[in-house]
Amino acid sequence: MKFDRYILLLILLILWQVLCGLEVIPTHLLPSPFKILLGLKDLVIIGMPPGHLLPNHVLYSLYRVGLGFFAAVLLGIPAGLLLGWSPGLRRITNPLVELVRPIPPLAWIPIAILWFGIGMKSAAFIIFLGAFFPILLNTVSGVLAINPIYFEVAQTLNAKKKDIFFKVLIPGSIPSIFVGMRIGVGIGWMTLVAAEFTGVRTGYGLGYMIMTARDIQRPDEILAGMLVIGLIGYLINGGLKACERRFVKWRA
Amino acid sequence: MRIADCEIKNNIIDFRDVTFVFEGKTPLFSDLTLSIEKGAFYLVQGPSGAGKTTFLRLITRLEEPVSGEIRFQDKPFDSYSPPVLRRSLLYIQQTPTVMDGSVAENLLMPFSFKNNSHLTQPGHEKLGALLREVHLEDVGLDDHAMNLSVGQIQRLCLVRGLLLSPEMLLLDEPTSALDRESAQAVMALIERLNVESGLTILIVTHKTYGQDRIKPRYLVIEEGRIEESS
Repeated sequence: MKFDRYILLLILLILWQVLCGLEVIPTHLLPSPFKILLGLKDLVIIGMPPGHLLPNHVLYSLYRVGLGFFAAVLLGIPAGLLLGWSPGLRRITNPLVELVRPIPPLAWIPIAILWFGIGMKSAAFIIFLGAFFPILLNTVSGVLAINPIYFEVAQTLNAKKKDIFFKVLIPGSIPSIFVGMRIGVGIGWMTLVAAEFTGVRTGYGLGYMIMTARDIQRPDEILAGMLVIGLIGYLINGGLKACERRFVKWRA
Repeated sequence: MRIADCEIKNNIIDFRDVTFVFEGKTPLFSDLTLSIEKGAFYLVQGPSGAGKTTFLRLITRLEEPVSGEIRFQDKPFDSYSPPVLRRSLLYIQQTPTVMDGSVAENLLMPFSFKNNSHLTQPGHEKLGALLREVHLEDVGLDDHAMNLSVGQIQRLCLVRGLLLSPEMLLLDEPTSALDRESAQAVMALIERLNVESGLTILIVTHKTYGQDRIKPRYLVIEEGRIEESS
């Protein structure tokens, strides 16, 4: 059955709705699923704050996450390939990577505001930091996981280093690169709310929308916003998985 | 085994006092001096761990000696870059390895390497003919290479190497995963290339040689020495 995997989710939603109806769950803290759907409708029609409609919040957030994520991809993948390729480079950069990697993206918020001011750049920078390290480290481990026999076979078939890099190393590390991208975009979404905490001058963004809903005590709209973030993250993950299936057939 | 002599122009490979050692171990070869004659057909034999594979890897510069000199066509190895050297000396590993793609993509993959740009990419007809010659008539060019059996992949790797027109073929157990009939087809092809095209052949094998079209020369590796025996 195609939909059997959603059965547990459905049961939990029904249970949640029933418990809210019986007032076992205080709805001012956790509204019922139905109330959240009504909140979602309000977000689409009325907006939060009023006039700032959900589709626009989504577009602005996608833009920020896209900017941070693509910067992480553009820097993380080539850097990861080079670090995987060169043991010397890996050895030199390892202390720096291991020092910076454990710093939570949220800890960067004050310095991001100082560097980039309040707005798009600082938000994208925070998302970039969340996405960069998973992409970098998965790319490195993808290169290191390639069976050395592939490099040797390419060598015996007269491949130069450049050919080995582009025709063995890159295709061979694609599965890990995609894993890194999926983790990276996931963390990017996770840091979105915090990134939009830094202030959004446009008044748009899912994180901004949720924080505004909190200010006026609308838990239904807070949860509806969270649901939208989850759904978009789910769809992006699905899209990347579909891309992965297309590319992975070329792996070494 | 003929003792190396740089005046003999008919040698394709010369080892001069070559010593090779894996890090932290006792030398595998010490002061090894020998020559491989151009156009000859050699079988390399010896007990497991004697250094048969390492011998082939030294010839193709996948390993480097700690001392001594290896020469190709009377010039030191150092005067060739490894990729240029390997245009002439083709080594096919014991572990047959293909990329994740079709049979045709695998066979033609080396032609995408810049170092092979001097070669003309063969058409599908030639590929099909070569596959038939090694008893791979059931394998289509569009078949997925990773779905083939180990024996089929082993023959596919041989065909992939032959398409690069080497001067010397170094094969590590090329028939280890093959049934008798397929092994005979592979050996017949190698023999034909040796007789008709003058391809120098060096085969590591544990099997006894059952063909009688040519008389192979035997190189026996034992305790760090390589001796030629009949």
